[in-house]
Amino acid sequence: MKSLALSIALSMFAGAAHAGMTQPAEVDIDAAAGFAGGDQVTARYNADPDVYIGCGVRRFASAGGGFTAFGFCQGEDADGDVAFCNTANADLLGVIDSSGEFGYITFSWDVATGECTRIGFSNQSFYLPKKLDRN
Amino acid sequence: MLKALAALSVLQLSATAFLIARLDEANARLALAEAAIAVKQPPAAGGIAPAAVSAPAPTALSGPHGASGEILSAEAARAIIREELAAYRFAQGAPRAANAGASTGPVAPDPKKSAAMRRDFDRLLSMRNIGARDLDRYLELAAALPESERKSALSELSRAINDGRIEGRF
Repeated sequence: MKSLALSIALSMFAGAAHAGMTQPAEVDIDAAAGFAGGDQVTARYNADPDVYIGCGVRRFASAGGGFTAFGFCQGEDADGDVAFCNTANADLLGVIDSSGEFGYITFSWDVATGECTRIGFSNQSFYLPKKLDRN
Repeated sequence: MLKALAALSVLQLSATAFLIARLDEANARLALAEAAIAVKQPPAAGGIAPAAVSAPAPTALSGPHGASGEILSAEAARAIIREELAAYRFAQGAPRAANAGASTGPVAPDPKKSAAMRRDFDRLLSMRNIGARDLDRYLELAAALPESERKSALSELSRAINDGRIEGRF
């Protein structure tokens, strides 16, 4: 019984020792400057249920065979500051397309127009959640 | 699995090398044809009289199309080059066109569509808290507008969300 308890304790220690680096980034929004940043996992598991951050794209097919694409990024931090920007810029849409599921997101916007001026993602192991379930 | 991937990599490398070789060959033939045309065509003005220029001898080409040692005329060489270049341009251009993300061309102004856009914005303002379907409807209406109106409609929405008149998480 003693050895079982000891092995459980050791395995817990070993798990902690091999957890890898984590670097949570709280969602931070500076509405006056048009800046937002934060990682999705930290936002998702924040104690404040209003905190979030993310980006999305909508594409609409047109009768002529082309399409119109809209991208947007949005978030809210623990202080209640809200950020939203939109873009039809092909390069910025490309950045949104390349986003990951758990990464750090940062974006800036022109406060006067609400248009995104910068969108960035960082897909790093230290932004992953503590444990990912297997299929 | 690894063996299959390695075999695929070798196959891909071989195909790339073949394409590069074909391109080099096409370039060489283009240079030959240009040289032949330059000799055959008389200068536009003030040059040597046409009679003084001897007809160019047919050029012997080696390679896949001339492997048997056949003699190609400049005209035949031009036709081959056109075919090769067309195939090369198609191979180069096709993937890019698929990923280009082509958007719709210019859209003519339509007062009815502009009015519908305005009404929908007012609708979102009156709702205050909007969902993804509301955003999609708004964007769909915006997509039917000329670019300047579209940008204006999106700016209005962004400003309204940022200053708290509209709330929405999409």
